[in-house]
Amino acid sequence: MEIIINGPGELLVCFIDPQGKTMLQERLRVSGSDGVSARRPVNLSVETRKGHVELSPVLKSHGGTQHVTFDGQEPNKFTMARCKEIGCSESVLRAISDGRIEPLPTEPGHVPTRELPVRPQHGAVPPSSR
Amino acid sequence: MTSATRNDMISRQDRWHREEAVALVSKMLQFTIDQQLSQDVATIGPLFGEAFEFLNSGTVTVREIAVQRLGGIAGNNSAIPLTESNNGFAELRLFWSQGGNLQEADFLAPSHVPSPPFANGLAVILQVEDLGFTSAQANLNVARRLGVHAYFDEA
Repeated sequence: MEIIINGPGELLVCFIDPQGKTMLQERLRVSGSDGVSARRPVNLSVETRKGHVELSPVLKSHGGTQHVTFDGQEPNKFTMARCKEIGCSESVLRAISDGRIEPLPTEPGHVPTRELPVRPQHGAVPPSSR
Repeated sequence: MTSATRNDMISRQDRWHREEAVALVSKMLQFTIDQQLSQDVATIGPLFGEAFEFLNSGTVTVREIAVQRLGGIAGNNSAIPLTESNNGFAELRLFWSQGGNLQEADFLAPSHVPSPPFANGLAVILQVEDLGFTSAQANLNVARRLGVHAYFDEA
């Protein structure tokens, strides 16, 4: 499958097994002008010690001005079709629709800042010294 | 040469330099892949991605290409350490037109000196690649981040 990204920004894709468990996840960040694009081909299966597992991609988040496609289709449409193909249950399909697919855990100390820090005001009295 | 003529020449030269400076556009292209796998996985596919941008048929000089890699792959219950390269592989592919024919030049990372200029630039593709692994016995721990960037000028 090919992920095509048009526009700068960051997106997170989880690749789930038929039980809805994330087996692989990728955070892709593209920087450049507004016309920048990126392509990431991904194999939709992995080998585990228990055998071959088919995966379905789920787009968890993407940049506000980015347009993303999976194999030329809208991500949600592709995900639903792929999930049915690999045998995801109704509850997994509902979890995808509700955005309840859990990404793999990240070390708490390694999560980058998502919001711009607040600049301290000059001459402001720190709350601790009031 | 009279003072007025010399001033006129300096003025023209200055204007030419200013016009050249306005026409020069510095651009950046950057792509980062942050990959994490569940510990149940025993096969890691090779990592490949590319970012691209179309150009405006100007003269292109590639100023810098760099690649960074963080993390890697370790066997969960393997006594044999996995050997791999320290860096990913990155290259910038520049496409330009010469006499109506499509030409290509490839630049490998890392490079921090300007390339020769290429006229009629059409597009740049920045590619990054890393190895895949297969482990028959060990589960694999994978968390790897691969980033590549390129700076180039189009005049």
